[in-house]
Amino acid sequence: MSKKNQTNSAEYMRMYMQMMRIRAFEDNANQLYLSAKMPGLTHMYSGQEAVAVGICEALTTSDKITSTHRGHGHCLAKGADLKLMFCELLGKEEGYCRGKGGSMHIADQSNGNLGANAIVGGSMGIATGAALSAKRLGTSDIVVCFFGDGATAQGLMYEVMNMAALWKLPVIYACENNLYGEYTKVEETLAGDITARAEAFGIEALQVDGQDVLAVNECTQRLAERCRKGEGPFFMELLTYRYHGHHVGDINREYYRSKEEEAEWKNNRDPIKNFGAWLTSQGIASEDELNALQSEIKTEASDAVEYALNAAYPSETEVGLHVFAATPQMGEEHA
Amino acid sequence: MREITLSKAVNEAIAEEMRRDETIFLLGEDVAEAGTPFKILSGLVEEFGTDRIVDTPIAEPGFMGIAVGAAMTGSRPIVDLMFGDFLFLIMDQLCNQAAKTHYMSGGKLNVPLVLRTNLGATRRSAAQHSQSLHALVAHIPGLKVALPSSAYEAKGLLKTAIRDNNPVVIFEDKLMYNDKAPVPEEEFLIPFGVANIKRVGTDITLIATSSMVQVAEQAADILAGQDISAEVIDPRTIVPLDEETLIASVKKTSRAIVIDEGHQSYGITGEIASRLTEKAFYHLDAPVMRMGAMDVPVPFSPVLEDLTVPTPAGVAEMARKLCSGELIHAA
Amino acid sequence: MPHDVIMPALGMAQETGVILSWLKKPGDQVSLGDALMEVETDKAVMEVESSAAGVLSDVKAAAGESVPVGQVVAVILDPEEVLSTQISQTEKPSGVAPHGATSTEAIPANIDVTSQIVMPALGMAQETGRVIAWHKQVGEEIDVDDILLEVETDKATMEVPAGKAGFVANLFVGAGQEVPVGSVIATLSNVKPSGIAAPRQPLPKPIIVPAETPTSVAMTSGLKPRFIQPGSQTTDVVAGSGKILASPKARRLALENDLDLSLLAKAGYAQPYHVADLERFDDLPQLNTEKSVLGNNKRINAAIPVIGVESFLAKLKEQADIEIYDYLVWASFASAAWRNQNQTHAAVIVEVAELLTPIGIYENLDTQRLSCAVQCNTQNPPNFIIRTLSKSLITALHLDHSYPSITVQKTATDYLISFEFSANAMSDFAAVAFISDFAARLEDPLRQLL
Repeated sequence: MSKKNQTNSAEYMRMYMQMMRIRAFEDNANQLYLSAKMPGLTHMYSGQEAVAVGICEALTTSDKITSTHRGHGHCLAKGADLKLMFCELLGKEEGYCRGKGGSMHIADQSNGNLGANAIVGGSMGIATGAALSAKRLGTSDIVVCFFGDGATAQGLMYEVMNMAALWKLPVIYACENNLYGEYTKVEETLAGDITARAEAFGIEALQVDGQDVLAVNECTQRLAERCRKGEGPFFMELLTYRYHGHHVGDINREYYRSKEEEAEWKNNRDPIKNFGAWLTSQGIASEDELNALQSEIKTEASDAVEYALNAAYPSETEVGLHVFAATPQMGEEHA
Repeated sequence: MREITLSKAVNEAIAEEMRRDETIFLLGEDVAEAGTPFKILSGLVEEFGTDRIVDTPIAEPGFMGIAVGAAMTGSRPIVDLMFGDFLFLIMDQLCNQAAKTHYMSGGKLNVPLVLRTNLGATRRSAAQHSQSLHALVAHIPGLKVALPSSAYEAKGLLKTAIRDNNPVVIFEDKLMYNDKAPVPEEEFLIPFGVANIKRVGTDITLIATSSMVQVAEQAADILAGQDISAEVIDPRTIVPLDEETLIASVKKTSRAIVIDEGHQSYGITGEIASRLTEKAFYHLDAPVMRMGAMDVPVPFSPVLEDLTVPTPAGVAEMARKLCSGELIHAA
Repeated sequence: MPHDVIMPALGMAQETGVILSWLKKPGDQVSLGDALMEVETDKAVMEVESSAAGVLSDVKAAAGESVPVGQVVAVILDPEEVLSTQISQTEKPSGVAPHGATSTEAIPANIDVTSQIVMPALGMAQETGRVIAWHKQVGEEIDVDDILLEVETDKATMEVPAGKAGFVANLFVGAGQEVPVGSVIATLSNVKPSGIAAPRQPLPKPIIVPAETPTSVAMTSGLKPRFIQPGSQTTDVVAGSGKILASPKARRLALENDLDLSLLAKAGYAQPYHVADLERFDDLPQLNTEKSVLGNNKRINAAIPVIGVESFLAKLKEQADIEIYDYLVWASFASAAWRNQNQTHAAVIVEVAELLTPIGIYENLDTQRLSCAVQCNTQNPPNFIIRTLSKSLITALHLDHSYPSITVQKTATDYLISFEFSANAMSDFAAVAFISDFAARLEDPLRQLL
């Protein structure tokens, strides 16, 4: 979908719906965990929807993203299907990774999502390499590397930013600063400024209100265009907040985060509520229409959950598949 | 047939493949003008330019990660890791990312990259520049591991590695870069998973990798003088491993020694010896012995360093004992 | 100088006489003029008197036989000559007794006699000896003083004569091997072995290297290093403990070819076995068929009138006021019999026990004065065990014993002797010879006194 006209209502509505989808997906995923229907752990994106949607709506399908352990939002925002995502979270064969990746490794290759990563900062090299490929192969694709404030402590980030800057790679490093790295406040783990880190490499760095989808989107569109002209890399620090704990089991979190703070962000800075209010105020959609959309999406989501719950698990033979890729050009039909 | 050095053989393989396929590029430290400290890649940057022969900062995790990302998105990178010892720096990108991406994505994402690095002690480079760490990567599902034993294997295996759609780690013996061997001028590839029987014998099987293949051959010469006929086999790749050839040989000779330059404990020798014992058990007339590098960090002093690796005399003596029925350990 | 006892001429035309009965037995003391036998002529019965004093011996004709006039039917021996008398190995029912002799030529030629050659004790503290070289091969004839082998002790290398004449029947220990003193290392036979193959004798006691003395492999240069000589490596595995150590291939081939690896163990070959050791089955074909299990499975019984020993003991008490345990007498006689049969100068060690309770171990009891016989402290295993049952109600013990085992039960009139031995310990022949010798001494202890 072309992103040329920023004032296109349809696109605003799409952004709104994408954010709602993410919220609905996460609510359902949380429920699946709480009702012990989902194996393993997952990490909720609720509250950060504007970041993923604002950025991904400024990208083409073939532009690449790399994601984090908190990756459902990125995956959906880049065009993934709810059903297939729930299937992956439940380890079903129809999932995006045939059930073999799960929440933390979910990837959607057809939509340019190179995958969530369970290693903090683990995908930064991949994003940078994808940008190198794009430049070498002349594809005009750009890459957005999602990561959190915690990942800025990883050495890999500096190594790849250094090289990205050296080689002028078309990559946008998008730091979602949700004020907490796992269970610790960001002030306690980060010295100095986040943006200053990028600037040390000569990388242009911007700070954006992560709860304002339009601001995020507008910023991304500018940077993406400049990237395609070879002016990259760029760095965005997006100020946002996660409503849930670090992972779905992190329920009692008062010891590191006050309920008041949570309430403040939820009630006053919710991206969906605020954008909905803006849409209504601009006359783009009525409250009733928005509510109707919400029910629609809720139904869509619960249908998707139902579908995934009833979907088949992979057959046992799957366990040995895909350790190696086939190399047909050497006559290896199977690895 | 012409004879070229291992260094030249590697150079040729890379050049030929890069001419053939534009998506291939190479990155690493001092690879362009310097052609690496071992001077293996001299001339390549002149032919292919700095876009395709890319000097990196000293940031192993960084450029390994970049290679993974590039491989996932249409390029075919060759990573030059200057010393095998630096594997430890890149393990997350190699083993958590590259090795697992194809599997974790349900087969949808490929990582066709080659990591070229080296092994081998006795260069007086001390503990952090002398390790043979191929066992570490062989242990990780999703990585293929190749061990060329001469210039011939170096060229043939590297070309196959570059064309493989999987992450392949290929270890060259840094002591052998200037050793010559007959290498055909015409194009040839050596398939993975096919062992090479270098010498046919009847009394004992010597399975040796990389730098240890010539040690085994020299041991076989010593044994021939003692009327013991040793069979020498070079597996060439340990992932995939040509078990069939190894087991058939041991069934024939009923005795085996596995010789490798990795540490003797918890390494290649143990894995291969274990498979032989499992699958040729009823044909064994002697215990399958492992001979690896001593379980010590590589010492600097030449006198000490030379003690830590298997030697032809040592291998021959072990073989003699096994053939005579002499007990290596009390029964 | 022995005096012949001849069938006398008792009539002018008489050419033969019939012995009606003997009035004296072989071994009996006779005085000048004692009646020896009753003889019948065609006219009458008359007694033949002894023309000398001494011991009646070598009776060649039995009662009822017709003997030509002038033929020697017995001998009267001087007391000194008694000691060298051999007991006949087999007495044919027809009464053809071997004449008295001092060598094994007395034995009828159609009987194989095997003598065992043991590793001699060549020094005081020596417990093992290493065979350096054999001077004779299997099948070769050897004389008493011929050197049979060279043995190395910790002091020096010594040449060991055969000590008896015959043909080399078996060599059980290879050059370079070390074996305990007393173990059987070879056998001689009085007949030349047919062909080159050893005569079909069961093997002697297994060669067992003590577990505490591991010996490193001595690879003589020039030997093709195909397999280790048996017995030259440590093993704690004694034949019969159940577990056989062998390489998987050796085990499989043994199974496929119906070869019983435990037989290699019993033969004394050291474990673990490799494929090359399976060739041993070719060398010793009887191993394949020998079903002997450890433990004594052969038995010989004998009954001897107690009167001989009892009157002997009574005399000692009466004349010299000496009291000796009867079991000492038995053990002494048995030791003498053992030594005599094996023609050995080595220590003869006998363990004496009451039922299963050891009383003591005696060395060379046959050469000790029984009144002051001393027990010994040897580490060497006994050659045999003698168990008295006389104080119990038990009449027989047929149990597994590690060594050849004699039990002696006493009734009012007889000693009931039971001898149990395994095929590995000695041949049937040797066992019968041993017990016969022992029994004869029990029957007439006077032989022993001299």
